[in-house]
Amino acid sequence: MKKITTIFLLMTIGIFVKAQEQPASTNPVSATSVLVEDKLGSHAWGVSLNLTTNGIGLELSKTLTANRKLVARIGGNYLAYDLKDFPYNNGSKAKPQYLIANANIVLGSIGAYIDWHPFGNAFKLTGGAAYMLSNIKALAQLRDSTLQGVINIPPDEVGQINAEIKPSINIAPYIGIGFGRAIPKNRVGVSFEMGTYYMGSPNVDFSCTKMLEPTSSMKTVLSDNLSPNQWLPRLSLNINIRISK
Amino acid sequence: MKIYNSIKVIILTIGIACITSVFYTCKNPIKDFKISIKASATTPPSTIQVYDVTTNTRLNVDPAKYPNGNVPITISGKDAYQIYTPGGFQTFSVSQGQILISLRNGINPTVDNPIEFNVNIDPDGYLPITYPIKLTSAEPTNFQIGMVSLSNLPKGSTVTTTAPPVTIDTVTKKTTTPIVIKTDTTNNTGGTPPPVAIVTVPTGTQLQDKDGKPIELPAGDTATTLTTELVFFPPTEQALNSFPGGLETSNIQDTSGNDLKEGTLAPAGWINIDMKIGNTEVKNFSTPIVVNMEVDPNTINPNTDVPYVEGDSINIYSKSEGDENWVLESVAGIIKNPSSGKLEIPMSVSHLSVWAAANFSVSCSTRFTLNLTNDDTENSSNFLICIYTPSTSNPLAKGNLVKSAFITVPAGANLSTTTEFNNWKPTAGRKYFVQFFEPGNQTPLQSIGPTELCGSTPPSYTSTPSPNKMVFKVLIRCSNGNSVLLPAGTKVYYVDNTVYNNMIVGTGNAQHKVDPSDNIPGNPWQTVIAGVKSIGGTNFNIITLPSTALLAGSNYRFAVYYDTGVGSSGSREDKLFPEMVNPSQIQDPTGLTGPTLTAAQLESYRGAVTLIPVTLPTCPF
Repeated sequence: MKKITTIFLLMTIGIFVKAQEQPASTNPVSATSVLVEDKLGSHAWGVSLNLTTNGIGLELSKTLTANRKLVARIGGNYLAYDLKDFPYNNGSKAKPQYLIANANIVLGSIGAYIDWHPFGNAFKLTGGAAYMLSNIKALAQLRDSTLQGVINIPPDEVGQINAEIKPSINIAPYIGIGFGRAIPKNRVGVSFEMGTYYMGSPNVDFSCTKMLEPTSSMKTVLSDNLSPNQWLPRLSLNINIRISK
Repeated sequence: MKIYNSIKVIILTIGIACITSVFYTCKNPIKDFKISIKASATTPPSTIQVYDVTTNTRLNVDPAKYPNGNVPITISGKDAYQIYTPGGFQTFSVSQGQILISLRNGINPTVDNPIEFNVNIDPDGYLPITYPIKLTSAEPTNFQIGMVSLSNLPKGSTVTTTAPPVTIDTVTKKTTTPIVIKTDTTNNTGGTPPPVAIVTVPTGTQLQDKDGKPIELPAGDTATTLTTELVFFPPTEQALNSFPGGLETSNIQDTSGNDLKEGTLAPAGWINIDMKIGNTEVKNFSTPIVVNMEVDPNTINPNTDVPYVEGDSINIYSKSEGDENWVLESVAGIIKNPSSGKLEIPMSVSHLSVWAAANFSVSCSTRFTLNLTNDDTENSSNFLICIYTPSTSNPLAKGNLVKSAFITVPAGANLSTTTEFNNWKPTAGRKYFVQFFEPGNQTPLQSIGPTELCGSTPPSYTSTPSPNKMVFKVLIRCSNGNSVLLPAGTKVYYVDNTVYNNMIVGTGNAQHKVDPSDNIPGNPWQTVIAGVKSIGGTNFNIITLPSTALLAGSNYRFAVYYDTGVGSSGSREDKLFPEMVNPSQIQDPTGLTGPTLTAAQLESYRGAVTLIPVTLPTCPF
């Protein structure tokens, strides 16, 4: 029951859940850059290095109003990771049946965002949209030979499980809140942001070959189980550099 | 300033609440997820039907010795190691009248590189049989092995058990008096006096064991008894079904062991002889003994197409127990017994085994080919092809059925097949009828013949789309709830349940409600081949029936056969459908195309994972 799909799910869950672990450590950092007086005018520019749960990225920022309550940002982030020979017990502890999975995990997006500082300080509300690059492709097969009657069947003959999970909406809307300015008063600043993309129910492509073919019917189960996961959270820690006067 | 801070807190709280809420929508992504491994390490199985030639149903065996009627068998021969049950085991049995055999997936026998093995069946109460099988394709093929019950012989056949006295010279180890044994016709079931056979062991014959060593009597003894069992078969329809190894054979050798041409044997009679002195079996003789077999006056000589007459020649063959080959021993001339006035075949018998007098027709050098075209681009079409040899008295008699095959032609496809007929080669110069049936319909779609099939244009048939078809979705479930796709060639059987409940066949311990595998006239089970259709991206098995196949107001029983994975105990799984209201009005809730569809589920919850086909010809004659 707790099958290979855990691998895929770990990836997906990783996108969702790992983000929860970071705010506590980043908040104090972002707090150091808040409440900076605005003396930079309405045409300031900045760049940011983003360390996010959706990858590492760069952003270009520009203030839109003289009071600097509105800031526009464009940029992207990206992270690819290959999971190799990940073992997973498809059977029980007493009678294990190991699957070996290989996966290519791509996280990332290219987006445009507007920061609104409603109180004129570092606190901000953010809205925007992004083209989602996130995609998980995985392939798994039995680690050991299996028996049918007295016939020893090697893993290659048993077949493979192929899965791909990706957002159903390519251009995903985004909302978030944060602390810190994309264009700091000083030359360098730090900001923190937490938000979420709406990407719709994930698209699941799932197929199995050869003797595993009956498992293909589990595509519906996977799709149903993943369908509530329509939001992709993003936590980001940004190092911001002002590039205008 | 206080209000200002409060607003900040509220906004912050709402924002965090909104974002964190998404984390709690996650559902366990692998909930209810199951991995299923299809047991398909073996090829779709071929079916060997084993039946009692007298009753045409299951073997009537002692249930105390053979629980559930399952008779263990052995597979021997050079390729026996390549034979498996569909479940991948190498322990075989006859179960519900059939044996299922598969090859390891990836093994593809051909005409030039066949898989050859022998099926050995030796249940109590039946004559043992060694049946050679040659697989020339990995496609499912059908074989039939008829067995002879010693307590219920085929019509016209006789069994004689006797123990005449025998005297043996202590020095020469030779018989000192002639022994004459005549078959006992009082126990025959034929109604009219059947032909008889007379076995004569001349004076001066050494009776030898299997190693050729003379059998000696205990010291001081000069006389004993020769325990003898003779089973004599004139060529009646029932008896011909039990002809050892089948009438079509490529397993004929000369006495030097050279293979002879393949072809068809037309026996005029055969005899199985067993002799014992004490506990020692007599297997050989120093000089041949003589067996005179009477010839039924109606037996046709295939060389002349008229009944045998005095002076006709006929081949004499022998086949030892456990051997797959017939050996051409000699050629005999038919004589007329001056005292009885009857025709007899004198056979010179050098060892004890099965001996047959038969003429032989050489097969065509090319394999039989059939062309089928399905003009229906929406549905596959199923055909039942029946090939008969015509006879003057009854052109389409059941006994004249030579070959039959169920063939599924995919939608819009042309099919030219030889493998469906197991690469059969018709007899050169012989004429045949070829009939095309839609399964479930006794009226042929087309009849061809009588015509020669050797060297002629292959018979062909083109089907056209029928507006009156019903397509059923067939869903097979295993015990874990997963559905299973039927292997290619799987047969689905259906029968009017009232007819099924009222038709009891078989005798003694083998009495049962009629099976699809019962080779009896008027077997009400109908057969259809399951196809595959993609519905919503998932492949399902479907069966296509003519709308006339099911009657409103009747309950129908549908069945498939499973391999339970234990030995070869394939068992039947039935599903009884609710009463048909009006089959032609059934609507399809599944999205299958066509005007008369329904989604019927044929469900089974056995632990089986491999479905197996049972393939029996149900040609109407």
